[in-house]
Amino acid sequence: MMRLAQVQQGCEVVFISAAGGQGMMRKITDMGLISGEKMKVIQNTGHGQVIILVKGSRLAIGHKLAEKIAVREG
Amino acid sequence: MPQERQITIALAGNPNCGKTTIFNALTGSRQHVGNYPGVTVEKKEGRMVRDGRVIHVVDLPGTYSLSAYSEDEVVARDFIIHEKPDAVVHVVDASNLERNLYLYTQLAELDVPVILAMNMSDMVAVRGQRIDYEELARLLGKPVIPMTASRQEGVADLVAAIADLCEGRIDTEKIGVDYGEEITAECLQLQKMLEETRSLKDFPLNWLTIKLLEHDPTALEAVERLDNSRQILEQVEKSRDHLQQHFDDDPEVMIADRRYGFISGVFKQVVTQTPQQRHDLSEKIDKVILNRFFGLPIFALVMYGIFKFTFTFSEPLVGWFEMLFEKLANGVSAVIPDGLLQSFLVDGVIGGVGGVLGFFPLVLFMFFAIAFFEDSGYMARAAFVMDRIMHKFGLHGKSFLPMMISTNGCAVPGIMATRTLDSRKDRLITMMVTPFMICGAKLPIFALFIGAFFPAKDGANLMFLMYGLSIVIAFSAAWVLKTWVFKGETAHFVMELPPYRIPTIQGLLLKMWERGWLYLKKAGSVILMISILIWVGFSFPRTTVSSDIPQEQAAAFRMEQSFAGRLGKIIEPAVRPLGMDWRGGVALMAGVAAKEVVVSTFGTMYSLGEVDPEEAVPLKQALLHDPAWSPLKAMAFLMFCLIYMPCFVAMAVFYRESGSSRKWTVFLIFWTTVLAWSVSFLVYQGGVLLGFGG
Repeated sequence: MMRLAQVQQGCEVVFISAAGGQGMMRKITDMGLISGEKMKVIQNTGHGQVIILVKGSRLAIGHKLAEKIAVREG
Repeated sequence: MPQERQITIALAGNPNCGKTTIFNALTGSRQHVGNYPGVTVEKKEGRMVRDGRVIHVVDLPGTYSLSAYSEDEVVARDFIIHEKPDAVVHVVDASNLERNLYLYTQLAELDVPVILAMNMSDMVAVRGQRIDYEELARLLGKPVIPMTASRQEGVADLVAAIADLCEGRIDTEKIGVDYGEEITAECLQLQKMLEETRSLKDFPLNWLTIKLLEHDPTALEAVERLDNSRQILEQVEKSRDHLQQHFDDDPEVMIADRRYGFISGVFKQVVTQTPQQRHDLSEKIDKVILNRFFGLPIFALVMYGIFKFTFTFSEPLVGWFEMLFEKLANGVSAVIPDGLLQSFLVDGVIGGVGGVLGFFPLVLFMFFAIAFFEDSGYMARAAFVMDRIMHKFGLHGKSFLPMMISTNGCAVPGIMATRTLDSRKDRLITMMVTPFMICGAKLPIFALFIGAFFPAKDGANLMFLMYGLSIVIAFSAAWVLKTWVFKGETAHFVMELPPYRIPTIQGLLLKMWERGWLYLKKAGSVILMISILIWVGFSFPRTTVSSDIPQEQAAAFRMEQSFAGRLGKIIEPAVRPLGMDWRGGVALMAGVAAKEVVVSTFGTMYSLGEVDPEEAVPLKQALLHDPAWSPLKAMAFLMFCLIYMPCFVAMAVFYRESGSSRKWTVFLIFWTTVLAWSVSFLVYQGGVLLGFGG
């Protein structure tokens, strides 16, 4: 298990969970991040901000959120 | 069905899926379209006529789901639930089907017929996919219309489908997500309890029950108002506990899981990936533009490019416009004899409105440059690049969009755009700082003073500096608010990045013209009216001056004795320490009505002060040669203009969007004005101390 913010560019990972309030959970669920979802880290800016490819489109994720998302290698 | 009945259809869909383009195609109106999320934050209404029958069309803000997480989503959801449109056209970005269908799973649960408009179908092949639309229609039990609204393709089919549906010629089946035995059983149990309460008939029951199990705040609130709310809420908790135990996971996670499962099943059945490998240019561009080292410098460069472009290319035209108004004033003076009527036309109308219209080319070029930036898809990237820095100041990456919208044109849509922000705290902070940006109305003030007191070659650079400064001030103000007023965490940043698109010249010109037209309309209506009022203020009461006094002094004396002059003298002590005389004070006060009025007021004042109306000099020259001004004083004045209270309309919108909070509106007025005074004071007095002259 690792944090999304630490995933190298180009790696494919699987979403496990996110640590946050109900509001935040609902938001990321709406954006397609659910347990078991495969995603590819297209870009990691190195400051913890990442761009992932999930459900066919690119999502930009801020550094704070990327720190709270737990993923595993897929 | 009686013919008179009003038919209403609503357009719903994800952000950036082309809803507004379809809305425009259906209704023939020209609403703004942009390649960034959040262009539509308030529902827009239009009408179309089909077979002699008027159909009302409502464009809803883009949403990913119906969980009503932010204000714009609440607008969309409340409309569908409470206004009950006759049909919902779900606009789907066909090239992004999997994500877009999530909203469908929730729309399907509402008691409303749905048509799927598969927009951007031309992009499907580009992304290496093929969609079987007939199969999709069969699986979902809904009409499915492939279309490319930007090229008008499929619009007629959509119109026909809407008409067919409204007149009952086609049926839609209710095919939604199968949540599985456990969840469905709990739903049915809740539904039975809810069926007994009549006061809930506004809500579709199967939707309400699933939302209750998800612990949706609005659904819970709706139930709390019932007599038997305690029983129902107890049952909700019991059901949730049961599901939690059964699945060993939160019920809302399981429910979302089922929805995505359903979508994934549909997706696999209707989409074939063609062997042609998707060649994603956007991804490659992002590698550079969002690079950890280059991201910010590129952003700064893009902004600088906008100003350089605007100023360099508009300069000759602005000069030409100035000359035009000068000639006009001279012509009018030659035809109409000296007196009140001449003064009214030359000083009041041409001096006032002409001053504002003179900058029309500049504003047009600025709108063009920013439209390019919007349509290309860079906006969402800029928000992402800025997110990290903005977090440090208590703002959110998404706060960047309202601030840019304010810079594009007006703080009013800027404040409205804060609806896309998820937390109320982030929203209020952003609303408080958005008016600091240099909007289209403030731009002429800056162009006037910079043009008058600084060399032309520095114009673009100084303007860029001013915009930079407005950002610094907005950020610092946000930091102050975050530290002392609105404490707490900033919401998290997650945003879909739209693919880059090459803006069409036609699209850019259209957008430029629309916003430019607004500027013209405002100049011809509000600004004209205020200019006339200002002229009256300066021309009455009429004082007679003995004829031995030189004409120049007589004109100045008359102005000082007028209503506006006397008022100016009262406020002069307040602006003296900022290096201004009473005229600056009057212009600033008048500017609260609309910021362009600062320029028009100077136009009127200097025109009135002229001895020979047939030899009118441009306002810039008049300012430059007035001993009451200096570059330092001009700078201090601009600082005040940059920061002080927003115009009336912006304040009214702020009041409404802050939830009718008198407290925050009064706070906004005071703190901006106090800050403006302090910064202006420091600049002027500091400048004097450093020897930059008085």
